[in-house]
Amino acid sequence: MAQQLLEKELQKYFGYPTFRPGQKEIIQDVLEGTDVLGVLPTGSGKSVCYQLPAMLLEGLTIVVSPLISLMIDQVKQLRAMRVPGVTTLNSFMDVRQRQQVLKNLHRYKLLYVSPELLTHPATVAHFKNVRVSLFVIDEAHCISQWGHEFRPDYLKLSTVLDTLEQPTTLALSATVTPEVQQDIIFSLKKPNMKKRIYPMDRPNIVLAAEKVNSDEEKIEKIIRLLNTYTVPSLIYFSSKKTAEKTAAILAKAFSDRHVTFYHGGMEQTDRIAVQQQFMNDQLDIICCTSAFGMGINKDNIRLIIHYHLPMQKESYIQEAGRAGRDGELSLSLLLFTNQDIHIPEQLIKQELPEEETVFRVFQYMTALYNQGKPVPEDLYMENQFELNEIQWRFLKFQLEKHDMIKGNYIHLTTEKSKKAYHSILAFIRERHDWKMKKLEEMVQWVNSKSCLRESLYAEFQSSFSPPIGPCCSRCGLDWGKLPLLEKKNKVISYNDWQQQLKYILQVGEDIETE
Amino acid sequence: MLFEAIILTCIKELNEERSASSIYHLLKGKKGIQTVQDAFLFRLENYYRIYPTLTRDDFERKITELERKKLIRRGKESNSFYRLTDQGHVLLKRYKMKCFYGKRFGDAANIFYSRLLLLIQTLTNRNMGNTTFLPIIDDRKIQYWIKQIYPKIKGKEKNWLKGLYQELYNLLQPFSELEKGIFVHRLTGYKRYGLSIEQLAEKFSQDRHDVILLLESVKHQMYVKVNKEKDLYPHLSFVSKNSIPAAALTESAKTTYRLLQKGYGIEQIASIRKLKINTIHDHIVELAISVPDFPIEPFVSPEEKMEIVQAIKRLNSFKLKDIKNAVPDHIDYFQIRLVLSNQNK
Repeated sequence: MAQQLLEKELQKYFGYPTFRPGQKEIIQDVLEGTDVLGVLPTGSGKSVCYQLPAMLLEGLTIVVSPLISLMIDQVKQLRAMRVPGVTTLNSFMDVRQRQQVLKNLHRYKLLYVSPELLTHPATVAHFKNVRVSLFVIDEAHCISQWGHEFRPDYLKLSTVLDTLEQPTTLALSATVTPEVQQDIIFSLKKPNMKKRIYPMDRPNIVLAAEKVNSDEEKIEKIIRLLNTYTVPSLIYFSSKKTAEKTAAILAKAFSDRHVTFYHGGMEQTDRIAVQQQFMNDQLDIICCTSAFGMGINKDNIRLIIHYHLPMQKESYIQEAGRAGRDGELSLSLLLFTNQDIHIPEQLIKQELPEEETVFRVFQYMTALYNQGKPVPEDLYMENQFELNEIQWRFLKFQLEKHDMIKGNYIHLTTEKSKKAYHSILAFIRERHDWKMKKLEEMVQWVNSKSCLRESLYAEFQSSFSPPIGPCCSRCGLDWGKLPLLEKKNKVISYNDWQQQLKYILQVGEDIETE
Repeated sequence: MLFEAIILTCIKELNEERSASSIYHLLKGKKGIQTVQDAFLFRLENYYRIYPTLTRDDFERKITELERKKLIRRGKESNSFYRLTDQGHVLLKRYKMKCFYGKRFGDAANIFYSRLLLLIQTLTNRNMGNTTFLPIIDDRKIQYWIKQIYPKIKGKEKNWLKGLYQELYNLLQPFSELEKGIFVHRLTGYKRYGLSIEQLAEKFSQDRHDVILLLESVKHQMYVKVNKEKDLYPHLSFVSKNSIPAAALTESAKTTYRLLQKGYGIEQIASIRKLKINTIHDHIVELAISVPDFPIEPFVSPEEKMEIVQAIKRLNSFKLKDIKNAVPDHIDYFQIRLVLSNQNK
């Protein structure tokens, strides 16, 4: 399609006048039927790379996405923008709702689907009857065991591609090392995939990492910083409780600003409310977990603080990258104490099942097999063995990989079981060590004496653009004097209920009330 | 406090005849027939499904807290049964309980409320010339309702906003400042998203359970008032029109009902539907509760009914097991439940 025409379509469907770097190239590639691995930094508008082609191509675009809440948000936003033919298929929907979508596939242009549903044999069959013109793998690093969020279901996607007779494929990610890029291409069995890699460094974000002695000192620093800069701010925590607690402290310290917290444990309606308030500049400061941020299109976040240590650089780059999408100067500050490493260590442990649990699961599977019983429900297994969802998903996938589980059936011989058991334990150790190594890299980075920018991106790319402001806390930084664009939200909210009601309902003073 | 008062009320009314978890099911609005029947039996139907998002953890934490505060204590017979302490009685007597209409109007009130929220969001946005916004109500049925009725309103946004203001202003008068505050700050308008439950709790220095329940009580009372005085609330009664969900019966019970009406017996129905006899029994109890004038005579003879009623009087208890022990052996649990379903209607 001619250049101007693409821009016109972009304006028509999404209301943007121009493309951001990388978008147009990738869109042209997929429209021509080229398979692409696209790596674009956080906040660069990855989703337009498939949303626009979905509107322009005949047939269906399938988007595999790992996070259900993110999928639902995207569909909602597209519908609010009146983009036609968008829907989703996920495990929050009941069987009837899913059937409804599957029966009407031909009516849709863009379908978001979770990997575990797509790879289900009963679902795949439905897709054979429609023309799939584009297959998108969002957060493609999930396919690699060496990516920062491995999702076993993603490994089955190459089989799905076979079943669908290899539609044009677009794999997208924000933060992947060259090693993981190769792994993605290899796992998808598409050696000729075109790589479109864009640098992930963000010249407008000032990087700072500072060691403190205690949590109290962290709070002090944060308060001082927020006193200096009245800007839209995000503070990241590893723990929901600490996020809630800190939000309360900050709300007290800054009575003129609007502070709240956000985490995955909140109800859907309230999560949307908080996201929308933040986007509408009704909120100034959010204390959140990593659940916040993906899919949030707020471009004037000026300050991102990490209260806890992220588990690896990839997550840090993604979270810090939510600052300054509009290109204006922003600050990303990481605070840490020497003790902080224990939290991510604990979290790593929680992602993997314990050896003793694996042993008990094997015993149980053997017993079930001898009684001729099928594999129990996921929820049952999770409760019975006190596994969290991630742990059981991991273990189940391993059992499938070793042919001990096929569909709902258990197949095992003593010989096979023994071998699988040892190999799974070895794999758990390997994963654990690898995650610890990633954490170690993170720790080295925060402690490094040399330029933070250089060492942060070194693993991913060979160079970076010169920063538009101060570089980082190692290269020298005058804390109180960053020219961050101030944003004073004047949130109108009346203490008088009648005023508030009038205000919301847009009723003027001319109304008689008494 | 409201949350505690509701749990205390339930414990008091259950009179050590049902376990604490039946309160959890009641507040959450479990559809099972046991929960519905108990709700009527113990005159707790107004609290039915007033807190659908309640989690087991939160509920149990509250029970532990009440026990620690010495407002309740474990029953004599079983650990999972509770009763009020004297302190609990005193506290409850002093508390002015909020009004709910859970079983009768709860669902309808929530449909009414969701429609109202989405309508206000739509009207205020349209009034400002904005047609694209993220709907605060997810429910497709509610969104569909707006789509259907909007043509009637289109072009008259200003008048509608004025009308809604006037009616909400009048309707809110009798409520406390706290309730009014919670209600208006939860509303979403043009570029102003309403406060989340957590934010409301923090703004008004309330416990989040109480915010949820206060809001629920306001919804119920508004709904009832609007429907009682339709002429005073023309706009709001338009919003509440046809908000009562279709029959409260489960699909399966409806099928059983049709077969009963065709003259099939319990065993025949069970074999036709390949269901257990017990399941059919559950359906019949459900029918006895929900269908006015549903005859229970085909399943309980007048003599048997008399035996059961007298046993209940003698024992002054609704405990199934005690009643069963007090009546002749040929009377079964199903028959007792049927008679009980007729008790408090």
